Amino acid sequence: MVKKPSDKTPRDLLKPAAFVFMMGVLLWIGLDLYLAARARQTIANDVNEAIALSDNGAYVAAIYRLHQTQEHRQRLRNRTAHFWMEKLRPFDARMKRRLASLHRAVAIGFTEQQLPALAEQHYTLALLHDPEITGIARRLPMECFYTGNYELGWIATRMARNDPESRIPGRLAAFFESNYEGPRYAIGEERGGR
Amino acid sequence: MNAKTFLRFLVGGLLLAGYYLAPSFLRDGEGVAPIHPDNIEELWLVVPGEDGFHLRRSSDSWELVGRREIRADPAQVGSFLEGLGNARLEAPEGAPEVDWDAAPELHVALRRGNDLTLQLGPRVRPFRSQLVRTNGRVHRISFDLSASLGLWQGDFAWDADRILDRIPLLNEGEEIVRIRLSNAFSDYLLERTEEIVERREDQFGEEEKHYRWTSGGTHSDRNPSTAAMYRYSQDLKMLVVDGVAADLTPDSEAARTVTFTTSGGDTFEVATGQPLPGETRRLLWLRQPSPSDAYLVDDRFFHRFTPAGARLYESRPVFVTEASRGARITYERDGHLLVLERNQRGGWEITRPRIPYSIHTPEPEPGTPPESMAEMYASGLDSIGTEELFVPDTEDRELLVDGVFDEPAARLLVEDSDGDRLELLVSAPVAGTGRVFVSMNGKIGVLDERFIGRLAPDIKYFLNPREVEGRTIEW
Repeated sequence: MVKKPSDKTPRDLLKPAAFVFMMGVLLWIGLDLYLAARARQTIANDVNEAIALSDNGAYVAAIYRLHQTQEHRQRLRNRTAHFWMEKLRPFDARMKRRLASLHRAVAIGFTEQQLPALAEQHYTLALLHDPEITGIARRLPMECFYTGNYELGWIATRMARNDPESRIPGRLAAFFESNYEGPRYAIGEERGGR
Repeated sequence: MNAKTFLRFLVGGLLLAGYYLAPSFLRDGEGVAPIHPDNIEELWLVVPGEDGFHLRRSSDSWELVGRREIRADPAQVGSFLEGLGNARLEAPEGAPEVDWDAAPELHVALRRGNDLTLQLGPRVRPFRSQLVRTNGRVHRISFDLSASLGLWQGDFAWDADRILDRIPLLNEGEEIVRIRLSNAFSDYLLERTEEIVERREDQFGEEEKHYRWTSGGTHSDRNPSTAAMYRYSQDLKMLVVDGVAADLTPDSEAARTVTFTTSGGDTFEVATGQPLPGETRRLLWLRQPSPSDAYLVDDRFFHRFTPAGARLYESRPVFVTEASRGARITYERDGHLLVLERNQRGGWEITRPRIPYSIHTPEPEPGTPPESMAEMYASGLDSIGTEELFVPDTEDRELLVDGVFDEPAARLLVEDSDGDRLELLVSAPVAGTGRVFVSMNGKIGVLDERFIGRLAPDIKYFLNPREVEGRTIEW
């Protein structure tokens, strides 16, 4: 006897088991992707909030957010969904640029507070996230002068030379040019040979 | 099981396996460095001829091995791990000549025991790539590992403190609601109320809320200054340390301690020691939430972190001398005696010792009248605000003041034209506090020890520096 639709029990609807298993797999993957998408959103919000805090002079709160972001990003990187989502819609590259802006904002704050070692550290982190970030080359050489970091100072003055928006005192450039004795990198190539 | 069911199981199974397993195969195919950051348990860096560092992963941070509660900077370590995890290994261009024996070595201990050593060669393109050697093979890695660890060339010396978390009390920016500031002279117990006295806009257009604070304990009759407490609670959020005091352990006796509680209920207790000999730095260590090893802190941050207690109040006890209206000021210091007297023209002159120089009047600032060094000195003496609200409420504190004026470091006498005299005695510095006692007509106050030089300056203070440079003046 064939059951009418109204006679079917929930158990009947889940038959056969293989169909349920496949649906379960699809749901599981869908949920994983959804959670990864939400984690991305959280990170993006955190970074934006940290940049806003830093722009408003709340460096301590900005750094706290930055550290939180670091943990969230690490958790996201561990998700398999993150790998697949990067293939479909890259997030890491965009976030690296935002993080570079955040480190730059924090570093400018430390520059204003006359903390050259911390400023230099965050300028470096900004450049590591995005070597083409602007607005650093004109500030970094002076911090390097205070910390005595001739190599980074020399690199920064060369970057400033290749960036028409950056003007640094000629004497500072000459100082690093004459005092830095390490390898002379081809800095112009970083900006497409400008 | 029919074929259709079998096929469904198979597709479901393959889908699940492919979803989870494919990334590791695909990643390997992309030439990514063979280290997953999450598998790293320990990192130690050996820099020839310099101090390195040794970090171990703890539950939520990276800690310096062998140090108590000293963390590495999360941003820096995070950037390093991320860079290492995403970096690609490629063949180097040409055959670079590198002195690998002089290269810093980074040892990486992995969770499953397959340790790895990376020798950090020269950078190829700053912030983008450098040469590394591992297992005898040279690679070009698409990340500047050295920059992320703070390794640079030139006159710059590697400093292991570059990996240190230099803001050790970082919190979310919660409000500070309770502060206890203690030193040899006084305990200040300050509590924030919910009453907002003033709202201001800061330079960035953000709203500053100035709350009313109350004072407890021995100073409960005094009103804390809302502006000073706003600044101080901001300063407490941002303690920047210089480094770790590797070979120094803090005395159990702290010169000053600060305990503060945030609106989130976290309590921090920080103790600070004496200035280190010949340095402008001193030791600072945490007692709460967990006892830590000692950090080195610059005096600039130390003074912001443990300010003069009396400056946190609306009004502080002031010694009023009105010296600028006086006719004669005499002071003795270290066996020297100096007498300033007002002359008939209303100016000041040094009548003792007899010297062939007149009192100097520096070039005035535009728009301000000229003022001689003696006038500046006398107006500085007019009123002297105390730095601490001294209350001899314990035996130790009573002992502090016992006999300190028997041999004062300086003695001042201010006389007016009617012959009225006012005597000010300044004690020698109270050991380990950076403070001196001052006494006037039986009233006792506490000043910073630098005040000795301001109250009883060297004779050269009054004279033209160009005329007396390099000369010895007997006084």
